[in-house]
Amino acid sequence: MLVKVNLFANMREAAGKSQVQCQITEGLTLRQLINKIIEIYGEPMRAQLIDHTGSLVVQAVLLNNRILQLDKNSDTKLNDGDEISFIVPFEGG
Amino acid sequence: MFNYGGYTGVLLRVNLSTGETKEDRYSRSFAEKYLGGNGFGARILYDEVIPKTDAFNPQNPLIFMAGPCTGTSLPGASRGVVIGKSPLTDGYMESNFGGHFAAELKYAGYDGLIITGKAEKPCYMQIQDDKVEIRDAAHLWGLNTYDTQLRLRTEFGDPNIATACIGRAGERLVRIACVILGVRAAGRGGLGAVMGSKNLKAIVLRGSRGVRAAHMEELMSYTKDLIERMKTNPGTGQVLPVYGTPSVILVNNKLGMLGTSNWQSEVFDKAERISGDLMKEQFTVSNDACIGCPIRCGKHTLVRSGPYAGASTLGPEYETLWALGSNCGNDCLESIIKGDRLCDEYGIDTVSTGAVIGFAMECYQTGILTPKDTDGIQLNFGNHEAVVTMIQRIGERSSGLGELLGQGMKRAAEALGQDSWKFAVHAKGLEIPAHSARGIPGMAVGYATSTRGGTHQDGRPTAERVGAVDINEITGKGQYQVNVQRMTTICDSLILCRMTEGIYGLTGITEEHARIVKCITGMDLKVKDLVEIADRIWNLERAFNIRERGESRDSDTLPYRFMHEPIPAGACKGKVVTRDMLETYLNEAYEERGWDKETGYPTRETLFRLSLDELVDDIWR
Repeated sequence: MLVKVNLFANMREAAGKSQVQCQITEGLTLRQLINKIIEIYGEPMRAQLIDHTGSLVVQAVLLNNRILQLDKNSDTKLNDGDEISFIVPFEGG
Repeated sequence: MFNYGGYTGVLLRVNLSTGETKEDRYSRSFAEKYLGGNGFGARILYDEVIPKTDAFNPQNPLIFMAGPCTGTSLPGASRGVVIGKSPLTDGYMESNFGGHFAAELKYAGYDGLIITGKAEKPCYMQIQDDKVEIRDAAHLWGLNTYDTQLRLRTEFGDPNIATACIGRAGERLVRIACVILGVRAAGRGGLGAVMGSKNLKAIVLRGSRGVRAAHMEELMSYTKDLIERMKTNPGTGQVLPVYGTPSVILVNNKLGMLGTSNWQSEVFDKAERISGDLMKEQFTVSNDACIGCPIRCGKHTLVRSGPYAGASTLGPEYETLWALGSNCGNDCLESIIKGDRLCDEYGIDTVSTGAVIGFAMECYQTGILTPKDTDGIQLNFGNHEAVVTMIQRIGERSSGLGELLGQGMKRAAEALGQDSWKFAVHAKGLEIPAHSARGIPGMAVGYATSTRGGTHQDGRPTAERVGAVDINEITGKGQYQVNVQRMTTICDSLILCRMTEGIYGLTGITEEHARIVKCITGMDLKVKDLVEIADRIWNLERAFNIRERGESRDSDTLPYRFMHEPIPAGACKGKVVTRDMLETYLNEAYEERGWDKETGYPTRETLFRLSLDELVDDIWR
C-alpha cells in the first residue's frame, strides 16, 4: 500500500521534499507511520516530531480531508491512497 | 509602601495642551487588582475617557504601558501595549508591540505613560529617566516613520534610543493608522490616529535604571530552564527561528483555512508563491529578535530583482502575507514585501489595510465599485500593482477611495451600500485577521466575544489548530474560549508574547503564569486568583464598550459571510457558523463569565464578586 505524506517547514527540510510517498504494510497506524518517517529520515526528523522528554510534538494531522487529534487517533489504520499532513505545532501572529 | 518586584510604581502623565508632566504613584492595591499592562490601561481608560465622546477628543487618554515582566530576563517579556478608545471601532482598544520601547520605558522609571490633551502644533516627546521634554516637531511632520526615527537617532547621536512614532496616515487621522516602534508595530484599532489627533509625532525614550524582580535568583534559574525548554521545543526552537510565522501559510492552506479573495474561499491555489518556504529561500537576509528573546522569530527580507527590487522590510509576518497576499488573491511575494514596508512607513495596520483592499476588490468584482470610482485602477483580485497603489492611497488619505478605505471596512460598507455589507468581514468594526472562524469553532467565539472585535489576540486559534483541543467538537467551545481569553488577558497584563503560549499555557491560565507572577512581583497568587484578575479586567473592557457603543448580546456576532456562506472547497468544505451554533457559543461563554444571557451584560453579582461595584449603576441603571 502507498500513502502520501505532506511535510511543512523544518519537517520538509528534514526530508528534503514537501511530499513523500511511503510504502506501508496493511494495518499500519498513524502512530506507526510517524515512527516509520523517523526511521527513514533519521535524527533531523526525530527532532521535529519528538521533544526532549520523548513526547510527540505534532498533535494534529490532516488525514485526507479530516483534521484529527493524534492522541485520540494514533491507532487509526491507514488505507491505500491516504494522504496525511503533519501540522506544525504553533500558530501565526 | 509599594514594594512589589517588577514594577516601578510610577505612571508618567503628560498633558500636551498645558505641557504639564506629573509622576503618579499608584497604590499597592491597584497593582493587586489590575496586575499591569492592559489591566492598568483598561482601568485608566474606563475612568478617564469622557463618556461617549469621540475617540479624537483631546481630553481622552492615549496610554503606553509596560507590564511587570517587561524588561526582565523572562523570555517573551519584551512587549508593551498601546491602549485607547478606538476611532475605528469606538470601543476599547489595545495593541501590543515588540522591540525594546517598553523595556526602555521601565528603565526610564515608568510602568506607563498616559498622554492627554492636544499640542498646539506638532510636537514630540523626549523622556530620559525623570527628565521629560516636549519639543517642536515641525521638521518631522510629514516624514514617514522610518525617516522620522532615523532623524531622531541622528539628532540625539544615539542609535540605541527607543522611539515610537506615527507616519503620514496617523497625522491625517486615517482610522486604521498604527504606531510604529522601531521596526515593530502596534497595529490594530487606529491608535496611531489618536496619537496624530494630539499632534504628537514621536516619543523618544532612554532609561538608565534596572528592573528589580522579587525573587531574582529564582527568576534566573527559571529563565535558564525556560530557555532550554524553548530551544528544545520544535515550535519555538526550530520552526519559528528558521521560518518565523510565515511557515503557517502552507499549513493553513492545506487545512482549507487560508482566507482567500476576501474570504470567498479558504484555499489559495497559489499559496506556494507566498509561502514561508519561498520567503526563506529567496528573500530572508537575517533574523531579528525583540530585546532578550531567544526565539528570534522576526525575519528581515529584501527583494533583489524585478519591479520591486530594493524593497526591504522586517517581515512580512503570516498575517501580512495573508492580508496583502491571499486575501487580495495576490501571489507576488515581492509586492507583499514592498507593501509591508509601505504600510510601516505610512503607519497603517497591515491586517486592516489588506482586509479593506480585499473588500474593495470584491466591490469591484460585483460592480459596486467601477473604474470611475477607482481612478481607472483595475482593482481585480490578483493585481499586485493595485494592492501597492491602494496602500499608498490609504496611507496618504488620498481623496476618493483611499480616503474611504482608510475609514475601515465597516464605514466603507455603510458608505458604499448595496450588498457590500454581506461581504464586509469585520467584527464590531475591526477587520477580521487571518484565522478562520468557519474552520475553527473557538475562533468564531473569539471574534464574536472579543472586547476589541476582529482580533485573534483575545480568543486564540492555536490549541484547536495544532490539535491540543479537538477542532471538530462544537459543544463547550464557548466556555473553552473564555478560558483562553483569561489566559490572553493575563499575558497582556504581565506582558508576555503570544509566541510563548505553547510554553506558558495554551488553553488557560496555568501554574507557569502563577510562578512568573511570584518570581517577578512576589505576589503569591494561585491560578484561581489570576482568573479573578483576568475576569475583572475583561469585565471592565466590556463595561467600557457597553457605555461607549451600546454593546450587547446583539453585538456579539460574526460577519454575514461566515454565517451564511459555507466554505466552498478544500479540507473544510461546507463548514459555516450557523445561528444556532453562535447562540450556543454565546450562552456557554456568558454562563462561564457570569453575564446576563438576554442582554450580554455582566450581572450585578458578577460585578460585586469582582469588586467592580462602581460599574453596577453604569451598566444597569
